[in-house]
Amino acid sequence: MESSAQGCTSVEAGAQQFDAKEEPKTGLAVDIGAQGIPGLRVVSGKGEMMLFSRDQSDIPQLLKDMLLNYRPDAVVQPSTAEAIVAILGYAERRDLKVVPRGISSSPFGGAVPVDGGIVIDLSSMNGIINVDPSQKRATVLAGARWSDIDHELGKSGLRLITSPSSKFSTVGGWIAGGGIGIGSLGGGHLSENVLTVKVANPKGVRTYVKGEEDFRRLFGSEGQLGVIVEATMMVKTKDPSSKPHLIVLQELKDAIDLAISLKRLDPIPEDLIYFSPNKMAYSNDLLHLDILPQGHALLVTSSNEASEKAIVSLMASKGVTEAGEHLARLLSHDRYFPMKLRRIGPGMLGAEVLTPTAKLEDMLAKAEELCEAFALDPLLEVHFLQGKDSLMLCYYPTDQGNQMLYALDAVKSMIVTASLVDMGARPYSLGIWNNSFVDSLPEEEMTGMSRSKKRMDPSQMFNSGKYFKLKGRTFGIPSMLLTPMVAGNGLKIMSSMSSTLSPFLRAATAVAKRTMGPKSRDPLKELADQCAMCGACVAVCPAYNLIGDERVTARGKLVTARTLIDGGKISEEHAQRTFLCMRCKACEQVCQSKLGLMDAYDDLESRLEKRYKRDAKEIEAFVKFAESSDIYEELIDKGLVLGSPKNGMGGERDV
Amino acid sequence: MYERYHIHQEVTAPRFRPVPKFIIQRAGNCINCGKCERNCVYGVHMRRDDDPRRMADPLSQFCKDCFRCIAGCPQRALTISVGAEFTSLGSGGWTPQRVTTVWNESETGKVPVFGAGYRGMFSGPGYDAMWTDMSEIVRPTRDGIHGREHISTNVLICRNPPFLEFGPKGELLTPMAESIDLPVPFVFDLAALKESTKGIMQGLDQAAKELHTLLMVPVDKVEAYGMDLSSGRVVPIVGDDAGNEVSKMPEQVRFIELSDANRLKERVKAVRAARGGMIVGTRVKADAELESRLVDIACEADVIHVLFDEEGRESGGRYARDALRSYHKVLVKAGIRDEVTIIAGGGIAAAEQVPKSIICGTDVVSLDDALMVSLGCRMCHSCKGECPADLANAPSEYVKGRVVNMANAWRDQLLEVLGAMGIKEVRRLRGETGRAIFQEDAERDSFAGIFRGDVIG
Ligand SMILES: Cc1cc2nc3c(=O)[nH]c(=O)nc-3n(C[C@H](O)[C@H](O)[C@H](O)COP(=O)(O)OP(=O)(O)OC[C@H]3O[C@@H](n4cnc5c(N)ncnc54)[C@H](O)[C@@H]3O)c2cc1C
Ligand code: SF4
Ligand code: SF4
Ligand code: SF4
Ligand code: SF4
Repeated sequence: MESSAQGCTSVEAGAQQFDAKEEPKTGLAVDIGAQGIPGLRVVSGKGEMMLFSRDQSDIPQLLKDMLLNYRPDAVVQPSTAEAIVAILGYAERRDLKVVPRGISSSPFGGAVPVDGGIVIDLSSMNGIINVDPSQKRATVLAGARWSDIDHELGKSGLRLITSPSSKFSTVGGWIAGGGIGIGSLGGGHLSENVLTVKVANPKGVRTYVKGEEDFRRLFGSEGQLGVIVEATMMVKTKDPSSKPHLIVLQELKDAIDLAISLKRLDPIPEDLIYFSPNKMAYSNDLLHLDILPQGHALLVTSSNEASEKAIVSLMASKGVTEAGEHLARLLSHDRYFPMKLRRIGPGMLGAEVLTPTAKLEDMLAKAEELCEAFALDPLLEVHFLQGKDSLMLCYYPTDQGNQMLYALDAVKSMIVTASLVDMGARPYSLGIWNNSFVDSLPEEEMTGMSRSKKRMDPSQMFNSGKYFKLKGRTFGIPSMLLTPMVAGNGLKIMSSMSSTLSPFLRAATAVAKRTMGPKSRDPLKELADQCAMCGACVAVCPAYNLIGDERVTARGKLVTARTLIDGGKISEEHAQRTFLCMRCKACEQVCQSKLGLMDAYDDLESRLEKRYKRDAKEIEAFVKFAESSDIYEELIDKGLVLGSPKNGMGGERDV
Repeated sequence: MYERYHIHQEVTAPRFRPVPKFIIQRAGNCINCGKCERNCVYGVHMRRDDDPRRMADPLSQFCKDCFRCIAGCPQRALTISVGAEFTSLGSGGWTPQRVTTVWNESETGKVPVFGAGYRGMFSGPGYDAMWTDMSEIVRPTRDGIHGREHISTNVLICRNPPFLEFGPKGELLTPMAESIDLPVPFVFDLAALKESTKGIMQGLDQAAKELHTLLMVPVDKVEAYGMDLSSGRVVPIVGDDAGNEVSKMPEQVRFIELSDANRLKERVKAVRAARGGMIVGTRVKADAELESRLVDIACEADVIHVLFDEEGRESGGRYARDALRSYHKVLVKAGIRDEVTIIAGGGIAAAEQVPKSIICGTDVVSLDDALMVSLGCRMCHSCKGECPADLANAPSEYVKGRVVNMANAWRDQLLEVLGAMGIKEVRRLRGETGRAIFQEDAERDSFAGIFRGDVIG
């Protein structure tokens, strides 16, 4: 894939070639393009660049205006480690900042270019280098998606030990981000399953091996230490006896007690989650069914035959009965769609903290209490882990169409986090959102991180303006508001005064709901607001896989829709890009917010057609090009959406 | 100069959407991947003209049931079923399959292609209980008709003398009668068509001209149909006053048919008196008595045109397959089979029935309902009410195109059969029952030793 200065992306596949109209490069892109770095696509259109100014978290416009002005100076898509080293060298020489980015599914702004600079989009580096069934190991590039790896492993009867529920996200992104996900109870933190990680810096690529200090620091480093380019991880054999079980109890205490007993089983279960009654109720609503039992639920998944036996006999000894296996499987499948809640808002906010398991009951009670005070309707989840901590999630729907309300709800989420941190929890990831809680991290972790940062990124080029110090480019002072000193203390005060504060927040919320909501809602805008920007639709999109421009994906199209409806301008080329689509519905199948995308595209296209023309020839050429390409053929053969039922991704058959 | 017989055919689209046999449905989980478009060589699956990113609705009428698209769909989104409208087509010997086959032949002029193998009943009533010998070739359809250019499908309509007399110098003494050489062994019988507008008749006349075959027309209708006796294509059907009628006919008329065999001797005599050398045929209804009268009729008429009913049976119910073999035997026994020409009509509903009929003993086959089906007729149980094929308004150009196409497809199939048998002339096939397997014989051969003979009917 190469772009030329003439303003068109030319891609080749098989005998066919396709030239999509592309905006001429401007600004830094011109200079980077002139470097002629092989294996590097330089994004040129402003519209395409726009997609790289945010991640899954959509910061309320109010806060954005007040605090920060994010815009990358350039975006590049490398397809080789050499290209990454070359662009890093270039950035170092020009003293430019660099932000590594996976599929930007993390919700805390970790991949947001708060300090401008070059965003390195790793999603084209998605190769699976090697699967070694005898050693049970897999080596993959940083942009590989967990679902693709699992698919490949499946061919040898293997599977991942652990993965984020965002299986569409990248390996590099999860190493740099969370590391806690599905299978964490049995398999441990991701860092325990990875053997080596290759990291690029301006000097070259260095391999970090398990056991080194800097190796462990890479996990959760949020792009501070370099660009992860490759990793080798352990995998395991598929075990058909592994099964989910659903147990619903009426008392929170009973549920937690049972969870602790389950956690102590030998062999340890693969996965154990607590769902609050509200979460169960929401799940029923979202399924448009009334089949999930209500109460405090535990979803436990056995890891093998022995573990299965252990779980069953524990339940027998405690005299608890489980719900039907189909319900357990339904909820278990639903774990891959945690963002369905967004449809209710439209929008969703929340807090994610690591909390000592011993304090769980108090933490859950506190979260409930605060939310009630703030007129929020939260759903709570706890993911049990090895060791003394558990991961607690507190989410509630918000209305993204009402910026005032959204901003208020965002503040509330910070107060909730602050209160929990105050009780001894720590935020799961920092990003921008939780920057004010940096201080809550254990001392030795912070100093260790600083040491690694000095060693690995002496010129301070990686993902600057976060973690250690948050910085807004335009106003240094407002961004101070999110620093631990200012916001941290402010929030601490607010949380301690929450009882006094809550009537005020409640009143403000009521006013916001009544007066600040949009007068009439444009259905397309509403749908676009429901998009989580999670990126699940990116990896599966054949159009994107063919031309590498995110504007053709669902989230790209919805950003275009929003821009258009909000009166923003897009270029002619940008408009034409929107039409490049195979109408394959893969995006709709995987959409985390379960959006009706096909109708939305038709709507969007008819609006675009009124202002720009529809280039029927280009569309036809694109379809022909896709049909003749091996990439497309391969995607279709896989069934487009991995993890979907064999021979097709399901979906309703309407005949 | 040698000129090879060639039928000029042109694709002639149906006037109404043809009834598809198979209904292909594409379910909502289709991902518009386009695989079916590439898999189907018959053009059932296409992308939409107005938006090539989406698939258009399948054009089921072109589907040949090959299952390729079904098997190749990554989404299992395709379903194939036999349509209800299809199964309600036709009546009697005209099965839905036969009706649509004739439609396809009439549209394309080509040998029909059937999809996923041959299924189900391998035998049935009438001609379906016999199978032609295809020992010389394995896959006629696949190998095409190449190399069959020199197979002759010509037949003669004439009276042959029982023997030839030669003079001392070897010169032929026997006077040779008139004969008509047809390049195809079928003629069009227009005496009782379901619809007989001038448009249709004109079209049939043009088709006969293209094919160099004949049309049997009641003499009083010739003018109304806009036909011309001097074209030489029309075989007038005359009634009681045969001699008088014939005397008024132009010399191009070389063959007439008497409407029935009443007072046969007398009428034939009158015709011969009016015009020596005229080939005189007689139409006879296939009934229970025919077989016993046959030798007498053959002594008078040059051509016997046997009329079976719509389902190809004698009025007593015996199928042409059996009746024709008996007639043939009777005439052979009387030593006069070669003196007369036998034309058999009624109930011919498929190309393969032409050679089968010939094997059973006929020389020429006459077509009637098949001509209507070619035009889009559905062979409904009753022809009352509104005609779904609107036959009354079929324009003559259309009629010609369709009928010529059907004739071409039928001739090509005849060539395939002859090629498969290794026979070079269709005339050699007449009465060659050894060239076919009859169901009852096959069953006797296979099972007689196993079951008691009376078990098998
Ligand atoms: C539906 C859904 C479910 C989720 N489930 C989970 C879960 O179960 N567990 C969990 O931990 N998280 C979860 N997340 C959050 C997020 O998806 C994960 O943390 C994910 O692994 C991030 O990967 P990414 O490719 O999107 O990275 P990004 O969001 O693009 O980046 C995340 C951070 O990593 C850095 N980074 C990315 N790639 C590299 C690289 N190659 N080198 C160096 N730094 C890099 C970025 O700078 C950024 O700071 C979920 C998100 C969604 C939308
Ligand atoms: S329909 Fe297919 S090609 Fe179009 S945006 Fe969705 S995933 Fe991409
Ligand atoms: S369209 Fe759906 S899958 Fe794509 S980013 Fe938006 S919410 Fe996620
Ligand atoms: S092969 Fe199947 S999925 Fe693909 S376009 Fe045809 S019907 Fe749709
Ligand atoms: S079954 Fe065969 S002929 Fe019919 S639509 Fe499918 S591919 Fe075409």
